[in-house]
This record gives sequence, C-alpha cells and structure tokens, in this order.
Amino acid sequence: MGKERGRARRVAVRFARPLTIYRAGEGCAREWQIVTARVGEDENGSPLTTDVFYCEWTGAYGATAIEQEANGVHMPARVRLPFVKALYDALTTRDVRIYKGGVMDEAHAYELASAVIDPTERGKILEFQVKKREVL
Amino acid sequence: MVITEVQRILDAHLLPHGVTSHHRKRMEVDRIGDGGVAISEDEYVVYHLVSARRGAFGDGKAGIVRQTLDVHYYHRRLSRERVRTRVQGILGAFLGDRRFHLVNGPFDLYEPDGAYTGVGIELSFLEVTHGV
Repeated sequence: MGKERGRARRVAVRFARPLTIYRAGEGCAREWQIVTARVGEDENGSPLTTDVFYCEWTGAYGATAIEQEANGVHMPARVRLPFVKALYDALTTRDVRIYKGGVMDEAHAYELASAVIDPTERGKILEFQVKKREVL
Repeated sequence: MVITEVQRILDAHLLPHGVTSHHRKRMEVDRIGDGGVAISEDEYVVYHLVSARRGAFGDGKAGIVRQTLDVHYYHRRLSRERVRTRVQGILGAFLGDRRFHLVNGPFDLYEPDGAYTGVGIELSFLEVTHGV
C-alpha cells in the first residue's frame, strides 16, 4: 500500500460527553463534560491538559452529499486526527458531541455518524464520520 | 410538592449508602454529587404518584389533598435480612413525617425478568392546602 499523503489538520474541534449526575434532593440531571487529554507536566509536576484538538475535516460534496442529505444525514463530514486514548474511550462509549471550530454552541455541534476506527491499526490515527446535530 | 418531599426523604436516608432514588424510571447514574459516595449497583428505588384526590373542609376555604404513591425498592444479590432492614428503614423514614401514612405493604413486586427483584410500599400523603 502506498504512503498516503497527509492533509493539513487545521480545524479545531472540541468534544463533550454527557454525564448523569445525581444530586441529593433533586435526583438525576444530565451535564456535559468537556473531554480533555493530558499533554505533559509543568515545572512543578502538575499535569497539563488540553481540550482543543486539531483535525482534518473533510466535508462531503456532489452526488454523495445529495444522497446522504436525502437519507437524513445533514452536513456529513469525515474527521481524522491523531490517536488520543481519552478521545477514543469517550467516542466508543458515550454519545459524544463534536464542536467544530472549538465553538461550543448548537450551530457548531455535530454527532457521530459512524464507528470510530483506526485505519492504520497502530494507534496512530482516529477516523470517524460525523453529521450535523439537529435541534428539533 | 409531594415528589420533592419524597425525593428529599429517600435521599436523606439512602444516599449515604449509595442507593439512588428515581421518579418513575431508573436512570443510569455516572456520579453522585462530587463523587464522594460510590453508587450502589445492587439497590435502587423507583417511586411514582398513583393518585391525587382533593376535597375541602366545611368552611370552604381550606382544601385537603390526599396523594397516594408507590415506592418500589429493587435489589439483587442481597440477603433477606438485609432487604428487610432496608425496607424497614425506608418505612421509618417516611412514617417519621406525620404527613405520610402507610396504606399497603410491604409487598413483593412481580418481576419475571431481569436481575433485580423488588419490594413495594404504598403510602398516602395528606396535606392541607389553602384555596384550590
């Protein structure tokens, strides 16, 4: 297999996963927790984390996009980014929201439209399809 | 509101043991509060309002509301003695509030499938309201 040319990963994304928190006297409430990953340590040994990741965001176009829109998949895209275990765990176990551009509002919210895969099978890359989250 | 009172009483008695109480349907809980108490996977409570009957006293000003509710305690892999203690504790927590009265129970809950089995309690909540 030939070496695939890498595209620039210039699109910032953030991820949020739902948590059900139980509070005394109130019962359950759903809260959204931003997914973070550890990137290192500072000079004091305290962990440094990030919640912004950069990915390759490829939107669909042409006949493919028209067919997907007809099937109810709005604004589909393929997302590729370097493998991050915290992201992989969240994406495979939770109903994660993906925020394009790192802007956390409904206009930039997407959701998974496929399984999360590692095309290299070496823990190098994460790839998944997303679609626009519709607010009814 | 009776639902608020029921939630408050159940949480005061059961939450320190990690037992969660849910209105109408159980929800999967990720964390209790700040995470200081571990969630008990072997026990939970579901309660729901069965009926609410209203009436009025002779003066026509004060009203009375009698609400009946079911409290179902579900458990798995627990001994009978522990279940009995838990149910008695729940009963005592409610009957310690003069507005609650035991109507029926404790009785077994019919649950042919699933890992959990349950004990039910039917309570009534009597409250005087002003106006409607």
